[in-house]
Amino acid sequence: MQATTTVNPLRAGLRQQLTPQPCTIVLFGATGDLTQRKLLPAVYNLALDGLLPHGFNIVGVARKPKSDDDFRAEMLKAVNQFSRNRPVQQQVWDTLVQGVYYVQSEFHDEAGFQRLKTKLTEIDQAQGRHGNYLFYLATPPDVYPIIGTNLGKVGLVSRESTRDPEHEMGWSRIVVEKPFGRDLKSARDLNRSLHAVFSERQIYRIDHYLGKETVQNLLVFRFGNVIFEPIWNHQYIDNVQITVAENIGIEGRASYYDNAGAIRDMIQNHMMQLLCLMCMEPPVAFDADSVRDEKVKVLRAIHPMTREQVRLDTVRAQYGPGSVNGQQAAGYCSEAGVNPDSITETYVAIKLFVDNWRWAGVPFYLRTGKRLPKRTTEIALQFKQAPHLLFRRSMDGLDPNSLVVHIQPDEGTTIKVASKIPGPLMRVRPVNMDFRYGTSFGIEPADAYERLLLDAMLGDSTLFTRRDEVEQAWEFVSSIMDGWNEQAAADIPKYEAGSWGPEQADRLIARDGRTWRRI
Amino acid sequence: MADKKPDADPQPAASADSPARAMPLPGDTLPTRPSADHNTHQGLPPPPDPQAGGTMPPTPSTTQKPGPQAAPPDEQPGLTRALENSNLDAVAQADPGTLPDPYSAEALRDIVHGGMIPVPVDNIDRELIQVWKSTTSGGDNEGKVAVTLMLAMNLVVYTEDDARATAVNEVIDRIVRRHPCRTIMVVNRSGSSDGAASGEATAVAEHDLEANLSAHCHAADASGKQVCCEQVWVYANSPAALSRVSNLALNLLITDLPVFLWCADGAMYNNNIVLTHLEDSIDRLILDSATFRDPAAGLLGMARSVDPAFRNPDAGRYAPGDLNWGRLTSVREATAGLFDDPILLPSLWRIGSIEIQYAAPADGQAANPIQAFLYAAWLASRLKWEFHSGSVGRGGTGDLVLTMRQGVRSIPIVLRATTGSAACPGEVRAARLTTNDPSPVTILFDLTADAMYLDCRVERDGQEQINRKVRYTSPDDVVLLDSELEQFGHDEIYEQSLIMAGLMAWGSLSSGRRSEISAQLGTESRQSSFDPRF
Repeated sequence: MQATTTVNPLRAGLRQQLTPQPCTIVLFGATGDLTQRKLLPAVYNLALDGLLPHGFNIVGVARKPKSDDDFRAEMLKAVNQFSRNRPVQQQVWDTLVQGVYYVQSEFHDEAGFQRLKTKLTEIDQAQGRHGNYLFYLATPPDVYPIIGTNLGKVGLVSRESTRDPEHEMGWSRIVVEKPFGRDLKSARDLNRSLHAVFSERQIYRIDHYLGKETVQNLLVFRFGNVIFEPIWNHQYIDNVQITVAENIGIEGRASYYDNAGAIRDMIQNHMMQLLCLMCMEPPVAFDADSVRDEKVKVLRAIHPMTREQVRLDTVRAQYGPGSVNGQQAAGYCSEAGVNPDSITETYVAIKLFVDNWRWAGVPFYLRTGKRLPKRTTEIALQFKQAPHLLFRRSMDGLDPNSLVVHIQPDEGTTIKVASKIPGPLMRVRPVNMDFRYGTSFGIEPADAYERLLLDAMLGDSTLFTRRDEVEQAWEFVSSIMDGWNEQAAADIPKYEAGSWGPEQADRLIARDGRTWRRI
Repeated sequence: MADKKPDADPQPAASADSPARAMPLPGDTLPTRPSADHNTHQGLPPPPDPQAGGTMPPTPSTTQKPGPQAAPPDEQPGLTRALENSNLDAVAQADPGTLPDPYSAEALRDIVHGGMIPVPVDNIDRELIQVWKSTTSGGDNEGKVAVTLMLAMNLVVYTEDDARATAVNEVIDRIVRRHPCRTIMVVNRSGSSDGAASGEATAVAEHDLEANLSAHCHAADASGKQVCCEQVWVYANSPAALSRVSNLALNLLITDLPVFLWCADGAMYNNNIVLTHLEDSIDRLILDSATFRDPAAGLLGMARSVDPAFRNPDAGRYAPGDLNWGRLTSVREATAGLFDDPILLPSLWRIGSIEIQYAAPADGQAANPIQAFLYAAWLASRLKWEFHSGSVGRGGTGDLVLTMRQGVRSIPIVLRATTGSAACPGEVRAARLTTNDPSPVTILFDLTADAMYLDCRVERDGQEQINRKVRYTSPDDVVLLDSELEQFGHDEIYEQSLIMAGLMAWGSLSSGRRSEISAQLGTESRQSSFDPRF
């Protein structure tokens, strides 16, 4: 972990051993959905837990004209509606709201950024500091480059991710939301554009899956225990299935989703990250670069697909009408805001290999989709059969061992083992050994955004994605998209909303003599 | 805290505040389940109706039966029993032929809803297996009572009277939701803590040790499935019985799970036979120094247990914990929080004097200075000061005056008892830290009159620079115990502070008190000093 530069000896042993330095979060897209639903509640919950520094401010930036008080009222409403802790505690709110401001600006308007600078300077002078700034891009992705450029032009960016005494400036960091580009080329362009103003250490590409407790626990599970690592390889594992299933549709996000599709929305970021954490070698330390070095090695071992591989080993599909949870569900092309002729995929299944010593020959089956029967995210390791089937007769029809990491909901880990049924006969039945977060700890986990915002303020980028990670993931995903682009649009199968996807996906895995896990 | 409000609980009967949970105390007439070997056990009611035979349903066992709304309907969802870290081996290995009869569905529901069942003292472990056994697959009660048994640690609790045991039981009922455990509640009714009879015998020998079983259950989810943690009540009615309690407890500890011992009763830290016998078997000892009857002796006893100068290197080293240290967390957080500010941080190294005010009882009784000692000791140990000398202030103020050294610097610390209301004996209510500067910086903490906020102020040259209120909550036992149970290993910061507090306390004692306490602690060989450097 990277620490702040000052060390306060009284902090040792206290709950929050590192506290952020006084800083200001500048929220671009201050009136947007993400800000209202996630970011503002996360800031409030951090304040409630006493994790924000004295001298913490938020400046909202958006196109609509409004006063500081308007923005404060909106923030209060958002927190009351979406926070995991509500209603708002007045005392905490009263302290927090003193540091909340609003600046109206178009994102391409340099004069607006000058107004922002003036506001930040006023705040800093009132508090007697050289400001530390965390710029958060919660805007549509097409304005990321111009925001970065304008911040640089008006001189709001120091060249340091920590304090910059030489220029008498605090630190500046920028948090970039997904989607980070729409293919390899645009991701590279975006990286170049941000790098013209910020150094890599100042850029925090957020993938909120990495803020989830269970995802982080995957590292503890693998590298904090000795009993799993010896079997975590091709000698014992037959195949791995990673499932990210949603039962919701696109929930009014047609303009974003119809341009992105499942592969950009889920595979390129969240699922490749899960795959990396599942496959990576032990890092030499739990710090930003050691962990990300290992993740990049995994991505480099996943080779871009040939056209033939795309045809054989990937399936894309789109949901048609059906029913989910007993409710009628419209087909994708009938959703509000979606082009009726859209060929955007809402389901993807992929078979891939990680070509390295540890994983040689082990197929990884990834599937994700909208309007599937239930919401669940899991990583399932299917082990090989025991080498000698001593109880062949009694184990007939039994699956081999499996280890499932449940990411959401019902976070936990399940190991399936064979066990003798009590009685004189040798009868064997699978039983589950279960670890459930909720029942073992009984603690409501913090929202991923709380953890990630705090880490960004602390300057710890372990749970953020690095430039080479993003580009490497795009390289693989772009090869699939390129293959699809050459296929006829009519090739996109439909699946019934509320089903587990198209039969082509079943055939993809059945070719290998396997089936998708029943979830 | 994850504890939910009672009204959030889908099963009213299982809520913490429901009257149905009230624990009857032994001595009440409790009907019991039949036991095949009941005649060999002490203190059990007469055998049940023989017509019922070996398969008769045990009668509900509480004096306070659950109300009509308490009994879950028979059509409850099917049985789900997941033993996490539990005595699965024991279940598997126990010879079915020797086990007592299974419990009836009624008796089980009774336990799930707070009922208590007397059990034979020499068979508690078998009863623990038996009580849940019938709910497993193929058992008599499969599908009738939906129970998940959760056990992630052992918690031994020591109390000295029934009223305290009842209060502590309420705390445990809330704590098991976050820390599922098997609880062994020792109720010492013998009037003596060292296991030696003091004059008159308090009970006839046959009834001197009694045991009951109960469970803490709460609805896991909307399905009505109950998540339960089992609890064994052990009543020691005589000093001789108390001396047997620790071995009984050892038999009931679940292998491989951490063991916590919570002395919940202001019990003397020293000469407690339960602690003495269990100290090699526990991972953590949790005390509450605010309730010590002799604070100086208790503090020194605790400090000695972690001070390498006194510890027996061969002894198993459990980690001590103190609820009173937990009460200081808000003040420590606030203090540390001010110095997080890079502008103020340099002042921390120039602190030249400290004054701490702590609460004293209004009736003129002696105050408990342990919290004040711990706060001063925390600052001193974090800032690498050395203890130089201590004394009781002149002029009859009763102030404790400590002198610390750092190099050539001398730093006085004054601990001042002030009367007023307080959440606990000796609560730290205010502190003033002043730097040694030409224009000194003063950092002040004051608990507001309503005890809701900590007023934090920073003044330079008498000019106020920072003034902010930090929310202050005086945590209850549930919150304090919860954070103690989260910590499995040693809390180095606490232990360093404890050793320093021991030095400070010793330095402030008269020579008469030193001899007295040394004798009590068994440190006669070093009677002249607590600190070997003296």
